[in-house]
Amino acid sequence: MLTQNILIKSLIFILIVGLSLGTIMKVSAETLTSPTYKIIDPTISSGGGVSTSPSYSLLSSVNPTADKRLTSSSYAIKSGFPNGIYANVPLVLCAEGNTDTGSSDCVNFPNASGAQGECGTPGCTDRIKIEIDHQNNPIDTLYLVGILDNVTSIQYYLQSDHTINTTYDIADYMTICSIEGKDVRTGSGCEINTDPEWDADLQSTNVFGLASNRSYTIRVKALHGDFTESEWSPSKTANTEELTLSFDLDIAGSGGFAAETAAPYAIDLGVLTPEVITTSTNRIWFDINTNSIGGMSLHMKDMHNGLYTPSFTIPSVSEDLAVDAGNNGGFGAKSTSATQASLGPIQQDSTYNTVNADEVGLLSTTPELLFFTNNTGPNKGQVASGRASIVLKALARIVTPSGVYTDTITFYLTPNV
Amino acid sequence: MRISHFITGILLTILSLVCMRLPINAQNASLKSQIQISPPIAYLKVGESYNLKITNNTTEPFSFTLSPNLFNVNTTDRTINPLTGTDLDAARYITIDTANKNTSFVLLAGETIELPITYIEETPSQILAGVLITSTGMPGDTISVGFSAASIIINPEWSVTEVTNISQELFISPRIGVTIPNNTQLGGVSLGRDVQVKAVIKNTTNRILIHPSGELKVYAGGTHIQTESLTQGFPSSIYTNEEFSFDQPFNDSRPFYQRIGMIDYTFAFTIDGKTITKNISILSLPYELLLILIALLVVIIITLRAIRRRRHVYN
Repeated sequence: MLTQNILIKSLIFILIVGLSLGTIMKVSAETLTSPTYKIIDPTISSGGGVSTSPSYSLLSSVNPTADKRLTSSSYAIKSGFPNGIYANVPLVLCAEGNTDTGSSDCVNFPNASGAQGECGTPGCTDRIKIEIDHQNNPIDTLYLVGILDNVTSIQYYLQSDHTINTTYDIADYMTICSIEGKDVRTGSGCEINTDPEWDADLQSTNVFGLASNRSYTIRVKALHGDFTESEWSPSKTANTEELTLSFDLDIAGSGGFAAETAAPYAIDLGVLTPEVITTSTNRIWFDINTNSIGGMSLHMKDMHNGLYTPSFTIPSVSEDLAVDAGNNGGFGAKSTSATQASLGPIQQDSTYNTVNADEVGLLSTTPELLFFTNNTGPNKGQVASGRASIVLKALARIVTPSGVYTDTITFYLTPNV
Repeated sequence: MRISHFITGILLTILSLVCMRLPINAQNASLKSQIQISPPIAYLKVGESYNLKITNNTTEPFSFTLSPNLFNVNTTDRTINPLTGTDLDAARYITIDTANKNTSFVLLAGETIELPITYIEETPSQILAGVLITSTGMPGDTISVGFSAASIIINPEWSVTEVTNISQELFISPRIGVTIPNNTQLGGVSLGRDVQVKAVIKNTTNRILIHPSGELKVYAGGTHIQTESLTQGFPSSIYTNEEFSFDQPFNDSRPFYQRIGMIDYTFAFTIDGKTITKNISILSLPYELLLILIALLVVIIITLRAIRRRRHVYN
């Protein structure tokens, strides 16, 4: 009985020692790697494949002679086991900061008019949109985006929060869904707008924190598991623009949404028949564009608070000329349209955006708000291809003295903050 | 009656013929296409300068004058309005540093001109300095229409005192416990791995907050576990007395046994490089832990009952 116990205890001891040695032998494999490098594809006498432990990764293959690499200055053919697991080299489908409808290659902009449709004319100041052609890599493939500042030659990388930095880590390798907010492939999690990963903002622009009026070179590489990182893709160039306000006047009829007229501009109210409200045949049209996030305001003022002669002024007040409560005639403006290709919208101030056909807003020596954009709620301050118009209306009474009336109207375009 | 009607009709006709012809000639200095102003907003500290770039994208020459001007901030409709009828002299705040102090220019089609502007003195609260680019076309016959575009200056420089005066709150939900947010206090108990972080910022100063930024940092037991940048969700500006709030989901993906203990959420709000922070600490008790405790309790109860039964049988 005693002998049996000793024998059993000895066997247990031997078993423990054996297991311990086995563990030590396994740990000794760590000598092949370090925190700063990995050994890929060493020649192993037998066996092969990927071996891992919590502290190292090792990729080995059996027949390294099959790893034939044929290269020239213009191509590289890679065969053999390691190359068979590399992710396909993706492509940059588009990288755009200032494109318009005619020059855009991106397919998933929420608005029309390319990057200008997302940031306003003439384009984005601090951000761009990129889209990646996956080149048949699986949905869960991760991509790293390289962004080279062509002025400073500083190499940046897209970060997981969509800003840029000169360093990167594994968290900055992202799926197409995470980068673009949309991946139409089944199972991507962001095919349609009800999917949890769907992100409309990232479909608009997805690289932030760039310098204005700058050119960037964009490349991308793919990763689908350890040891599979592809080479960099061919590059595309994206440009950012300066913060800008731009403005134009045109004089044309009610159908003049696309009219371009040359200076000098003139609106003729014609002969004012007493007691009859006269509306200008032509409108004053405004082209308004900005890429300023705060948007813009267009104010209007005049010199005389109305139509002026040295002896009499047809007053300008906000009123319905059909009523003319003061029974003294009137002169004013009425906004007639406000459209844009995207963003904004251009809003018409209630002083001039009136209900009744002959209800006008005043022309005053104090600038009065006429049109504006802002970024409150779903609105955007920026506006692309904005177009707005007003008409002028006047009413003379029988008692109104005849004469040539004058006035000076000034429009002020200011940025909003 | 008939005679009076006849006379009235004659008088009206005569008045119409004598006529008040009111031609409105909108003279606008050759704005055939578009005049581009850049930048419309310049962020300058006192003493700094910028180049105002004006590009004539029309097919004709563009004549204009450049003049200092003041603007007031309309906090209701969030617009910047040209200030009129003020005793303040705009030239006190900015200078136009052109050769020979020239302020009249003609820009040929396709040309761009850059004009240096210097911000020399801080403007009063709610007033901004800038320049007006005003077209100077041919005068109209009777009524002329002009056009001005503005480029304004905003001082982004903030003192620490101003920054710390900005009201800031931080909330975490869902959680059980105290609901009053405050600096570094126990904010409650959280059972799950998903929480909603809400922060509210109110501009209690008399200046416009420009380009505010923020981030959320999450620490567990003093160890940093995650940082979320919030800047992209921020507005470009927050006016005086305006309030901005955001909701940021946070998912603690660590195993439940690592989620036991205090989790500290720190919201850092930054303006002009100066940061103020708000902290809230939540005691995390994962529901998995509660399930295990319940299971253990059940096992203990069953075991005790079994022991009692055995003792009862032996007795």
